[in-house]
Amino acid sequence: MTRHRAPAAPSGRNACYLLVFPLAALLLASPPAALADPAPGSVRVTRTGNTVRVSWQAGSGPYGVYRSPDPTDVVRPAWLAGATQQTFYEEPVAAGIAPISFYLVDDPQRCVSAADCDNGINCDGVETCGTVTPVCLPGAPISCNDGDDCTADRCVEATGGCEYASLGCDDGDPCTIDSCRPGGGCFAVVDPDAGIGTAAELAGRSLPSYPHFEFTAAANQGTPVELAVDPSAHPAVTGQTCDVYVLAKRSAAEWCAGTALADVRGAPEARTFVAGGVRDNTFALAGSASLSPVDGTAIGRGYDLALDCNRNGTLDAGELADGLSDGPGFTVLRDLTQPGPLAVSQFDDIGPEPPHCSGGGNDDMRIYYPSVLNDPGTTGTYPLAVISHGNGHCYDWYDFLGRHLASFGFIAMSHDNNTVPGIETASTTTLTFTDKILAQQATLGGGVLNGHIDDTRIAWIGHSRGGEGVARAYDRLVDEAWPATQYSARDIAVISSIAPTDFLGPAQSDPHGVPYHLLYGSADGDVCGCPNNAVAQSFGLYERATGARQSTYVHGADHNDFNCCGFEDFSGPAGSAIGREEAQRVQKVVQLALLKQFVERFAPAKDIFWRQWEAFRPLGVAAGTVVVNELREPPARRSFVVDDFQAQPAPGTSSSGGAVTATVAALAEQREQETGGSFEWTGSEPMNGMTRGRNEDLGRGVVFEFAQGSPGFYELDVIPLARDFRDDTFLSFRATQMTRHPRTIAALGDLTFTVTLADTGGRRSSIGIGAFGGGIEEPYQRTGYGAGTGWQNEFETIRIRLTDFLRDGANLDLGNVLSIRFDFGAVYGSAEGRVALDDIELVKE
Amino acid sequence: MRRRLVLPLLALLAAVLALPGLATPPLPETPAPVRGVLYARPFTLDAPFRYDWSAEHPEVSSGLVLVLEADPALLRPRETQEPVLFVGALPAQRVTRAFESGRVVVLVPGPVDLASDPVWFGTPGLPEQVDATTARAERGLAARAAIAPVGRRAADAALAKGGPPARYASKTELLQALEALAREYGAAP
Repeated sequence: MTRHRAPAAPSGRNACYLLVFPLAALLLASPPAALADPAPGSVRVTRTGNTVRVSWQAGSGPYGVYRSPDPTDVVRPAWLAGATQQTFYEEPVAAGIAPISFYLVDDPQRCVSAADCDNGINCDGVETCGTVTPVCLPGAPISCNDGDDCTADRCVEATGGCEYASLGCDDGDPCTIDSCRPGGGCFAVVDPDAGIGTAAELAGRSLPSYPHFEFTAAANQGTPVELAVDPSAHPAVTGQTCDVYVLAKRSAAEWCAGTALADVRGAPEARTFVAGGVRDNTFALAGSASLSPVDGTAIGRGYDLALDCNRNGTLDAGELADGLSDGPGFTVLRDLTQPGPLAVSQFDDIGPEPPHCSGGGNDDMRIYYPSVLNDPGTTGTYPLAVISHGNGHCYDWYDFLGRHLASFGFIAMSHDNNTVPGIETASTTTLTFTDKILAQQATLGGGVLNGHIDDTRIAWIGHSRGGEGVARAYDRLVDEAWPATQYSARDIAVISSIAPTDFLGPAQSDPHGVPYHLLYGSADGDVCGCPNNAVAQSFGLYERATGARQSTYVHGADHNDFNCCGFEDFSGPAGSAIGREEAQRVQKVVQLALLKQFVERFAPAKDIFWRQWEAFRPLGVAAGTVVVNELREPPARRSFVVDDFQAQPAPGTSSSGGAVTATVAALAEQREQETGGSFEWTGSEPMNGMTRGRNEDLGRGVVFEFAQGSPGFYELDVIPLARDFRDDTFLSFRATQMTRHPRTIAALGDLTFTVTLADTGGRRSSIGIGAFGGGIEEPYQRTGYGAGTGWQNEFETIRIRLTDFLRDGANLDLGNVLSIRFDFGAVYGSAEGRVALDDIELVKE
Repeated sequence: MRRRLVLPLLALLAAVLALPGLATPPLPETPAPVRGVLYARPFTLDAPFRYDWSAEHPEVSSGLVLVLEADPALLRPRETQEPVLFVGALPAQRVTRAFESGRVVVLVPGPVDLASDPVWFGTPGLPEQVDATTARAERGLAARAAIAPVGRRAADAALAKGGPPARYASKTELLQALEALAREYGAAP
């Protein structure tokens, strides 16, 4: 360790001294006693692992700590590492880097008026001269995001105004068909008439029963990927021996530019396709378990698949390929419980209001960011994730999550949250801290974030009261025109609430149409989902979300498993606790995948949120951990809602107007809301166990039961105008077992049943949902609130690819579907049960 | 009539939350008195601040700093409803969050006479939703529950402990001054 006094003040400033230390330095002795700021004797330099931390006690200022490579030109905003009221600066180091010089500069750049601070750039806002401390403050960059994925937005420097141009998705290439997808931006597919292969689903996994194969978008690293061809769908391949290529993902334009095939495994494999069914033509792709999932900060790597049946090394007309578009054929996901590829740095911005994390002050935040930003030459922007803690919690309780997100290319910020007065104050804190980090990026952490925060891609994550606070904050942006200066509702890409409270109800705690996610632990002893307390029922917020929505219900996790340090509040049966470490593994997976899905439009991440957890458990999560997934597509992708049970209260008619017939017992259409204050089954409350909203929430569904030896069905006719399913991708619905009901208890376990499509010609095709693994999960076996065992009802989404109903030449006309039927009983799945259904619809990918 | 309706509801809430299967301790019954006022000191601020702990959001430029002693279960942070701490006509701002010691530093806006204004924990809820009407009703409930002000002698003792009125430039400066107080009374974490 060495320390040098600066030989002279840097030009134009009252520079006090120069700190130079080699990387091995651990401690810097006190600075000269004559220095007043920061606090004399408090400056320290420590190295822990690969991180060097310069810390000091704040003192009175004004001063700046600059990390400068040039002793003759110290005071540049980009080099500011700390300022008055800040107390430390951290950065990672790597072997071989030259010594770093830090300069403590007393009384840095002052100003008299805003004119002194004008940098001449219109689009970065109007710089001002601080009124408390007369230093230049950056302006608020002009936000031109109109929230429309199909316009290109920009600030015009000459005027400082915004310009919105229709996104030119047409790439001018006649070989591609280009379109703009709301929520997805420009997307191109290869023109089927271009003579470049034939688009087909090929990658997925085999199933133990009909439809025998599931075409999927994602696979886990280390798991073999299978390829299947259904000869009835692609009769031309029968009898052919084709070279099967696994290719690096190509865009549609890249396919058009070149059809030469190059297998990432080194060579293609030859496969012969035979007459018969899909099972006869299913193969594990050789070496697929070794395919790399690494692709920068993405959570997986995309691949395309091609069958070169004339074996000439190019994809020719009529040859099948999976991925003839801008999307991949399939994606190999990495272990998302493990850190991403980027080194992470963090710093605290501590405000003047004490005490730290103990009430009173609400002006502290901790920021996590990719360490590459410490290099002043780094360019590029990163999306922002804001974390708003719960009541009695602290902003420094989410290191595990903030660092995880930053390692995958996010700038994450966890802030003090003013939760004790209530949700309104909590939401104000979320709103203002989001403004703060954007407005002050030029100075926070020495300006290390400056210009690197993408203020059009913001995710809000809130826990508990903070989880409701983020929904309320969004509602205030939308309904009450909250005056955010740096961003608008359009910049909020997704919200994730962890076990949120519901103090304010639908009028105020409303996620509206923003993509919304709910993470919840079934053993929550605080926001417990208790039947007598609407405030403690998190799913009300989920039900209000009108856009894309997804929930992750984790069995055996409690409220504070999702932070580092909260009370032990586990409230479940002995032996069912999964523990904080495991709960956080699940949390890291789903919140990272969520942000990648909605902030970075990484579509394959969606598989994590709807496929049966038993069949597609993320790497790194324990085999015994039970997770129940629920997902609903945004309205633009709901191509036909057969029945959401909202518009038509008569049980004999669906909300789309078709006839409904049923032989199941005890059928009732009602609000999905428990009203008795108890989970005990009394026989008088059909929707017992539903905790899906307050009295003002109007979500409805259908509930019924079936007994041993008494199978039954529930069948919905499809209205004539909607009978053509050929352009749709999935049949989607959600179902739940009804807690504590004798028939649920009698057959405790995953509940399964069979779904049948019938066409107008009387032809039928059926799929048992058990084929995909799992089924509808049994309720978490928690007691309380009346006699019996079983906690709140757990809706789970089932999606069946419509073409699965055609598998192996099933005689069904998807262009004329007459009815959708659900059959229950031993022949069709579980022998008995009580089940609720909702949101039966067709969706388009 | 109102009393006969409200009190049984509160009792029912407490009873239901006490059912087995919940690891978080049940809410104590409210209204509940504090165990004592250990310290009281008036303050004034040169720069007023907007008070978040009531629905009316008054501008606060003077008030009282108190150190209270109470049942820790009343102070324990909860995500759902917490008992609202009242001093006189408004919810008080709890400056410290630690609860194990049963000591809490609070900030009371506006003029308060501890000899005549009661200090108590009211119906669980959110302070930001408490308006003057609610506060009056809560005060009525407290009175019916025989929760009385601490009295002149205790008030004078607390004020003597606190010393003369303090003047601060801002809320921030006030909060900074309260740090040492919280440590002194074991109300800091």
